[in-house]
Amino acid sequence: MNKKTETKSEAALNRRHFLASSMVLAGAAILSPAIAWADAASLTKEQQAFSQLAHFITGKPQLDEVIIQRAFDCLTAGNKAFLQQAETAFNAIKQAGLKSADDLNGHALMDNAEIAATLKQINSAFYLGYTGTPISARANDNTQFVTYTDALMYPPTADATVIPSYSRGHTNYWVNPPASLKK
Amino acid sequence: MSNEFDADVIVIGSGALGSNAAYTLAKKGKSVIILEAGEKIPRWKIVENFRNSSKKENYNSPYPNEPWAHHSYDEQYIENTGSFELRPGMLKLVGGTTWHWAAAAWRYIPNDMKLKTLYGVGRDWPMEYSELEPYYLKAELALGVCGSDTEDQSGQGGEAWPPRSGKYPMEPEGETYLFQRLKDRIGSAGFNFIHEPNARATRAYDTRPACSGNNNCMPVCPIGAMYSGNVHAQHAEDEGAKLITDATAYKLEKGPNGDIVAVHYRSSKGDDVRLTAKYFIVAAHGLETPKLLLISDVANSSDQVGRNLMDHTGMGLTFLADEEVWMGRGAVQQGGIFNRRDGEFRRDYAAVKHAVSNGVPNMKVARRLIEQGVFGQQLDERLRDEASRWVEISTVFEMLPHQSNRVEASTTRKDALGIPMLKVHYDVDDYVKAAKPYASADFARFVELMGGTVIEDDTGWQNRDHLMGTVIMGDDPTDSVVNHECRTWDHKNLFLATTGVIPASGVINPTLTGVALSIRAAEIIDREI
Ligand SMILES: Cc1cc2nc3c(=O)[nH]c(=O)nc-3n(C[C@H](O)[C@H](O)[C@H](O)COP(=O)(O)OP(=O)(O)OC[C@H]3O[C@@H](n4cnc5c(N)ncnc54)[C@H](O)[C@@H]3O)c2cc1C
Repeated sequence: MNKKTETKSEAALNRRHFLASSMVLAGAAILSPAIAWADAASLTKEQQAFSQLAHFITGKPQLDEVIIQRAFDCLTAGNKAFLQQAETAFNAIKQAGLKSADDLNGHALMDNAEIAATLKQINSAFYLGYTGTPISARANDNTQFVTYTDALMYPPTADATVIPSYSRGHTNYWVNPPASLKK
Repeated sequence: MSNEFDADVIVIGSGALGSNAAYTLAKKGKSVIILEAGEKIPRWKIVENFRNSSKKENYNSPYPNEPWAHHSYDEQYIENTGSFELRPGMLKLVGGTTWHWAAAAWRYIPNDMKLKTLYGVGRDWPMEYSELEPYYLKAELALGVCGSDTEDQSGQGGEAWPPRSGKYPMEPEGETYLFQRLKDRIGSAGFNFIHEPNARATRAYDTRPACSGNNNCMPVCPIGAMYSGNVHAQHAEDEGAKLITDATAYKLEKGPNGDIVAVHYRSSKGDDVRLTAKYFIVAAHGLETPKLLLISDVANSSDQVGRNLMDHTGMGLTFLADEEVWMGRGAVQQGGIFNRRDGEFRRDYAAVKHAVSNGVPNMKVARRLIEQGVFGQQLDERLRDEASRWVEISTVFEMLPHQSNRVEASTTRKDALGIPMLKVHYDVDDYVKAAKPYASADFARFVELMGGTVIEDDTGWQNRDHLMGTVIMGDDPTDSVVNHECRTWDHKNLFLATTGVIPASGVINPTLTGVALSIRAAEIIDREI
């Protein structure tokens, strides 16, 4: 009983904090790139804040809003503390005055294990297309599906390799190197 | 069909081996019933399951895992008691596990079948390569194998080997750029690269289109260019075989004269059915086949059922080459390095095969970089760079048969039908361990020759999903389960169509051999009915 109540009020507190910080951050140019999401009105403030954070971390201005929300749902469902952790990461990025995802590379911020883990979790959801940790050779793990064809790990090599199961080629196209390698 | 029997032949299991046996018999006009524990599932559903899966690298995840028909990754399915966790990726649905094999379709070489005579270790086959050869050809035709008719597949750089009485049904696919580059640089140092004969169509074949490089053989070919057992399950049905799904055989019933008279199966809907036949073929794969014999208390006068379990337990190498090689174009594998497939050294340590993997590596590359804390533009750039230079070698070892490596029926775990699940004890043997330094030395050399940077070169032992030895073939009824016909010594009308009969593992993937033996067994049964 007690425990349940605590968890509830904790969550409410987290929501308020995250909300407050996202309002502040919304005014900061670095974390509010000119993004327009289709259905912003129906999103909670946390979702909107997460969306900004996701755009920032991935460095991608044109993330699909549906996928952002799916990542949000997976990350929050899989981890009760996620909202709090996201808020902490959010504030840290803001305080450090980072201007782009690339600023995170080698930044002292990443020495904070919890912040680093949160940022990687979010990056990973969009790049790999799932959340959680796969366990090999088992039926069950805590992974959740975010996206496949929109996973950010594919565009950097799209001219050379396929998204598995979506061939764009024909038999034996593979005898040639990718066009980028042809002299 | 006789009035006294439900069928001439009942085949248990609709995988590649059972289905090819069933088709062979049905085509000859025999009445055949196929019992299959799982369901029939159309390819498109599996493809959609894959695309929507959160565990893309888990090859069982797009497939059903039912309480009455578990796939092998179910947490409860296998209880391991040995030092190695044996957990091959077996499936339960019409067509069986070849839905997600990689279609490597090798023949054994004659020396593989005389291991004891030539090298003093393990066991000999109770038959000659020449006796199996015509059935290899039939199996290659059935599976639509493409391969090179000119290479020395023993890896010694000699003439075309092993002997063939006919050409491969299809010409090999073109060499991937990756393979060309490795062959050029590693091959020039004396490592013999051999094309892997494989059951992927290089032109329209049977009901299948040509491979177009979807790079998804494991866990599912989206277009069915790669062979899987469902092809012959369908062919068998088209020839009149009756396929009963959701039907798990749990008991083979012995008659008074020692023959098998009936099989009992259960369904998830509560059916409990007894079916009779003149002949029975158990084709339930290398773990379920011995389990069914054990829980039925049949075919085990030798006490060898379930023993001698062998996988090609392996290890892996991942490195970055100093040039772009672009793994991931074409099918998921294409061949490998075979110098250690055969030689006098087999007296002392295991034969070794190094296979070149060719799966799109982005998931592994990206995961590693993200874990290192790489973000943004730099992440995209490094991802592209590393994906272009990523190389993976998947190595397997020849395992010997041991009494203590075994599968048994679990005494503590049952499935939803009340049928015991599996208990496995598996230790990697000294023969394999003695070969490890040689494989590791090869790894170092490959990396050096490619100007590479090691990502991982000590993976520990890995599963390779090749189940052999568990119903071992031999010429002595006191130390083997079946004879060279795959007929159980104890019951003259009970045959086993499984790679579990293979008595000497060699280093090659066993399914083509299993299919060849299954077609041969079916022809023997056909002649006797
Ligand atoms: C990831 C992976 C890659 C592989 N790659 C290769 C490769 O490249 N080359 C190669 O040669 N091999 C490969 N293999 C191994 C290959 O898949 C097996 O050797 C092959 O599937 C064996 O065929 P089978 O018909 O004996 O068994 P299966 O294909 O497993 O079929 C057995 C069938 O029996 C059914 N069954 C089980 N128990 C019962 C019962 N009691 N009653 C009724 N039905 C039952 C099952 O549901 C199943 O459908 C690979 C395996 C895996 C997991």
